[in-house]
Amino acid sequence: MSREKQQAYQARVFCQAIVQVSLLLGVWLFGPAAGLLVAQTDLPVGNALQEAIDFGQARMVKVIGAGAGRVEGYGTGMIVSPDGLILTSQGVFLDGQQTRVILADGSTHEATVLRRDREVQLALLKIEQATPEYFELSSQPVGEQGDWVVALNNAFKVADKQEPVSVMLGVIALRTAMEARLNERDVAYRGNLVLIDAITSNPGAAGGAVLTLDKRLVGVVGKIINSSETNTRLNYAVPVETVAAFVAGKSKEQEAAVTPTVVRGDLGIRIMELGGRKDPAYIDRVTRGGPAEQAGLKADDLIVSVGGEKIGTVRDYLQVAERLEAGQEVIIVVKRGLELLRLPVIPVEKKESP
Amino acid sequence: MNTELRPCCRRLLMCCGICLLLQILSFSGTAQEISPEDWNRVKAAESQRLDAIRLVEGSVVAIYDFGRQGGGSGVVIDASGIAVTNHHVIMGAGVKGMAGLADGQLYEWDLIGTDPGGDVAIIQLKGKSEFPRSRLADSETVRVGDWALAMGNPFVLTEDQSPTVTLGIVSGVKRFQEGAGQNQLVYGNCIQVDSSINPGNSGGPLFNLSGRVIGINGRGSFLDRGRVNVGLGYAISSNQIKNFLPDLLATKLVEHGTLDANFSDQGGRVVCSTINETSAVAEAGLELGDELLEFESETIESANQFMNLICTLPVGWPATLKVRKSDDSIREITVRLLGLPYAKPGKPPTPKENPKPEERQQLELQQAMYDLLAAEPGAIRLPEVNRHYAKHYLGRMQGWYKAKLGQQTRNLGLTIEDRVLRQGEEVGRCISRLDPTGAVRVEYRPGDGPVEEYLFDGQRFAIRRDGQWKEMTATEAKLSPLLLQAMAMASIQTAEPFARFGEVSLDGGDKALGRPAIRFKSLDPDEDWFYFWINLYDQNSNEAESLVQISADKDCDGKGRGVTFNDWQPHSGWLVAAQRVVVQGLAKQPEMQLQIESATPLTDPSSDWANINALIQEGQR
Amino acid sequence: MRLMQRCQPHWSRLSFWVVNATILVFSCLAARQLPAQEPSDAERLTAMVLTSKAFRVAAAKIQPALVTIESFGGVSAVQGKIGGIRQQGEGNTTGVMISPDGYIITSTFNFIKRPPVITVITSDGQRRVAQLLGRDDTRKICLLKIDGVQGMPVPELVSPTDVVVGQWAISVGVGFGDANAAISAGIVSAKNRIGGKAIQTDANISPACYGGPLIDLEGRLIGICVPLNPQSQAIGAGVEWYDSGIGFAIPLVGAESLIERLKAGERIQPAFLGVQGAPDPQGKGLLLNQVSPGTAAAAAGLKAEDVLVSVNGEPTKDLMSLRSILGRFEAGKELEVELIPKGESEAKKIQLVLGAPPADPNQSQLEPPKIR
Repeated sequence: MSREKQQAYQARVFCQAIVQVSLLLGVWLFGPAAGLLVAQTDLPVGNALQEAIDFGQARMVKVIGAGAGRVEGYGTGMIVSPDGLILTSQGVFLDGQQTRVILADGSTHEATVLRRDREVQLALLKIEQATPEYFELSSQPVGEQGDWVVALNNAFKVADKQEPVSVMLGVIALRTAMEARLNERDVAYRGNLVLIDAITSNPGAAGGAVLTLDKRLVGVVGKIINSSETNTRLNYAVPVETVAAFVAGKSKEQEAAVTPTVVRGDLGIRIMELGGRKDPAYIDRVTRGGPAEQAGLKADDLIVSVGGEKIGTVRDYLQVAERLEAGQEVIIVVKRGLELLRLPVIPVEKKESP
Repeated sequence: MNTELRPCCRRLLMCCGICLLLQILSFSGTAQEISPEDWNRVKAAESQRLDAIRLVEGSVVAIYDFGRQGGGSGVVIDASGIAVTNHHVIMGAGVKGMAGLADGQLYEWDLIGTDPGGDVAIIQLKGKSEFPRSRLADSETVRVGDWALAMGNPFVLTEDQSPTVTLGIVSGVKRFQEGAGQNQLVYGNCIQVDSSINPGNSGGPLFNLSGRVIGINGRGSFLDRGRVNVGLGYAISSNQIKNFLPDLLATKLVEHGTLDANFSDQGGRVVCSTINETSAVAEAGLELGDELLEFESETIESANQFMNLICTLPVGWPATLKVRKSDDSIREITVRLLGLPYAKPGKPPTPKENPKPEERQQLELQQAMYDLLAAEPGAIRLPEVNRHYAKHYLGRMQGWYKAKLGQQTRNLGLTIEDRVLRQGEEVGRCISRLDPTGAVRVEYRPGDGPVEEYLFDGQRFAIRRDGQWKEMTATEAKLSPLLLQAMAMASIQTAEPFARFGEVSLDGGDKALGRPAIRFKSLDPDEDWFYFWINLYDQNSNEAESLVQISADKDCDGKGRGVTFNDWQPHSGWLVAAQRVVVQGLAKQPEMQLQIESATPLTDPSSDWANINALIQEGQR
Repeated sequence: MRLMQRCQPHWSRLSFWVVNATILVFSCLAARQLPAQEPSDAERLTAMVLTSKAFRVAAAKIQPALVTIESFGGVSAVQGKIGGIRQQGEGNTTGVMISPDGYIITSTFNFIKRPPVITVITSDGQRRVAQLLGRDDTRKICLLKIDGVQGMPVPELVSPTDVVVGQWAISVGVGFGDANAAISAGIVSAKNRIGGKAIQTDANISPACYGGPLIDLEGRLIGICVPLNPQSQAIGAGVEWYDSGIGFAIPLVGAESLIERLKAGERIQPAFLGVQGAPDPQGKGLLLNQVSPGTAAAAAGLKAEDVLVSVNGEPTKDLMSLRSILGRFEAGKELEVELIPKGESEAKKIQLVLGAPPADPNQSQLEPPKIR
């Protein structure tokens, strides 16, 4: 064969190869796309949540206690140890003589209340029964904003005896610290919360489990409380690291006992209180020679924030002023006219009135 | 060698190069971004939901009363415009009203039938020959954690009649929600979801990602925030609706079924704890203390489970129980359920002298509502309408027949040769000849005993035993299962199936071949009746309106027994049921089985074999 | 070998076409007849986990345009209602920067208390005093302005025509009091709600995000979250549906002229006619049975037992259709109305100027009381 013909032949083979490979590539790339079609049958095909739900349901319990008036006598709980420790939410329903726990298999067991914490609103129960399937409690936060979670809970006591509790789906909305209460008479919840967008704020749901899709416990469904920020019901879980500390027996009181005493600070500001505690915090006058005057604050300034905390009302100011430490500088933001001023102030030691 | 190696090397190099390129392309992006491949997976999963919504949205109905006030929802399940909604929606709207569809148009609707006990009603949309419709799923396949989409008209928000769509998951299955009033609005074996269900969603569809309706939304648990969704909604399961559809189509006010006996949990067993001694189930052998093992073929593990199941069944349903008696023996009992009565309405509306035009319409509607609630439960309220639906579903059966035959055309008759078996043993042979006109001739050759022959020429019946042809009355013919089975297969491909036995009406709902069926009733001028049953759905929950059973007796009792038909196969332009069984009694005990040996076209074009006159005269000679 | 070389050109050409034709046919068949493959559980799980990631990325994308609004002082209702609600939350609220020079859109709900002082914290952490400019009571949105800024990040907008019912929609808001915004994931439930003004979603919409953005998976702004209830015009109407799966967002695409009016300080009020009625038995229209005194209907001379045939050329068969027509207009709009006066048989056309809802002493002005 001549040289030219050889080259022509090689060129042709080269082109053939390109075409063949690109066709194979086309099949490889577009083939899978053809597989994502809408199914035409009703054969049970499972779902993404199956594993997490099955894992969770085996570890959920129903807690039956004492009802009192409008307050329900039931709640949800979860198994947190292999020897029968049950975590549930703190509530009036545990105050009665008899507290019973129904396991996922429908068996009923007497439960004793080991301890309760009114601040994080958790309670620990014990049943005399081996419980090999239990939730492990991480001492580190679990789950981030946007993660899907399933909330297993027995809201409205829909599930009876061995019927599985209800499952709701949502995402983690926000991790935050908050103080919120159901009404003025209730003890406020104080601490970290994992806000979720599934509606868990329902009677009987507290004590339920919030899980990620890969079966890790995010927290325990909290009691019905109202946020004073939005005047709406909060859907949240008490975070697993708080639960772990509670179950392990560490309490906030113990921790608080360790903190040293502080010297309270005084800013030298008299707040305008004539309108009431819900009014904005206008400065009535500044003490002559006091820290506020030295920093440049004036009468009629509107206090906007102290140490980064927004001061919306006189009450907010008084609460924050209580916690000031003498000698510790705080940044105060005031509104004067249309301007905002940031002024550092160092409180002096607060003198008790004679 | 050189010239052959180089192309190979080039190809190899190119493949490697392309593979490398692909690796680089699919490299995942940083945490702040999503790689194109991951993005496609997210969008593909979302598309499945969008496709399901497109499939269903055309069939979602916004239901109003005639003044276009109030609001509920519904879903069209038959292209002729039959839609399902809640009983409490039509209680609010009336027996007629207006409806909006996603096409933005308004249509009038009429009530067909209603079931206050389970809160299901069906209505007929008017104004179009064909409506978009949705298919019912098999609600037994629904699992906790499945996506659940709801569509409807919460808070009457729609202005262009487009439905509201909400997304959630199935939170629980086989849930129970107590009713209100006397035996009304009970939600048993229902589906619990966290998809947002609000007032106005009632009657609308709950559907899965395949676009099939798994339930009808109707209730929610409401907190002291008022009637606003808090994450717990309840839907009547689609399988329960299938059980009630035939009675509703028959235009009845339907009652729910009861055994008149109750069970409770005792020490891990489900035991009969109360029983009415005069009830059918007591007469059939159920006693206090009997342990319930199975109900309707489901293994029973708790009393709640039994209670949930029975909530899904209408009055008259032939329910089966398997119990363990006190002597440890196992017993199967089948009885038709009794009805759970409703409270009758108070006084009828007082008629007015010279009512104003707008008042007249109001009074008419009030009277119609009174008539509905005062109706005798189980009675066919609107016979004309009933016959319309009887014809409609007979037409569906013919459509199924044609579809199953496919392209096969038929010119000739068919000869079927069956082995006849009793308890697995062959006892004889049966040869059936079917003619396109509907005429049949059946020859039964028992292993021991004389040959029996039956004949039907389209009008008259004849029998030959011991050599002589004698004419048979229709009544006698209805008691001959071998003749009937051939006649049924020939009749259903004619223009008017079973017309020979009289005018057809929709008798109601029943169970046949283990599935919900429409029971049709033919009444001839002599007041002699005949029944045949059609399934609406097959075992895969697909629509397949096939003939499944015939009998002269509603319970397949008596001399006529019943014949069941299953596994329809095409043969030479005919559909033949490969499984035909002669059954006895409510429990459908098999007595005789016909097993096809061969099915061949009838090549003899003359139909002399069906000329009864000639044969009888011949016999008399 | 030489023989093969001579024959090969024919063979190779033939085999070339045969092989490639086979591949082509095979791939076409595979694409068409591949049975509907259900994704496996693992694939579904992966898709969901990736969707979470998409939510985070989308939220991060809108975050620079998010502002926190702080209000100081104002009226609060303890005994009665103000703005239609008994008690407003005490916390911060949310807004969205819509222009680089400092115009911010938020919801009128956030100022029910009529706070005399409003400050805004932008995503760079800076706090500034804000002025309240115009408001649209039909959409429950209003405009704030902060001064002395330029180059502020603004969101990418998506047009309602490109929004698909059933697609993901995420609400974002700072109302829970944390410096970071909270999100809620839902879907677009419907378009063209509330007189065509709002997109409906089942994501959690509440005071936590009123005034804040509803975004799509790409992080683009679908609309501003607001409380709405077609039954009432009170500022707070619709808050009773918070977190119920019924929520609304006002799209900003197509609202450019509206924004200009808000910049000029205009107050846009809903249209109000002032009639009650029921469908005419003869099907001619809406038979009026009540015309409230002092309203636009009374001023135009409408009376009880008149039959309203059409408004703006659209037939008014029942009260619902009248409401939905009026829902698309504002107070002050002049329209043509067709009616059959009582006792007559001929329809006649008149011009009518739509009024505003009757003044509510509590909410007649959002203007703050004089400040020091």
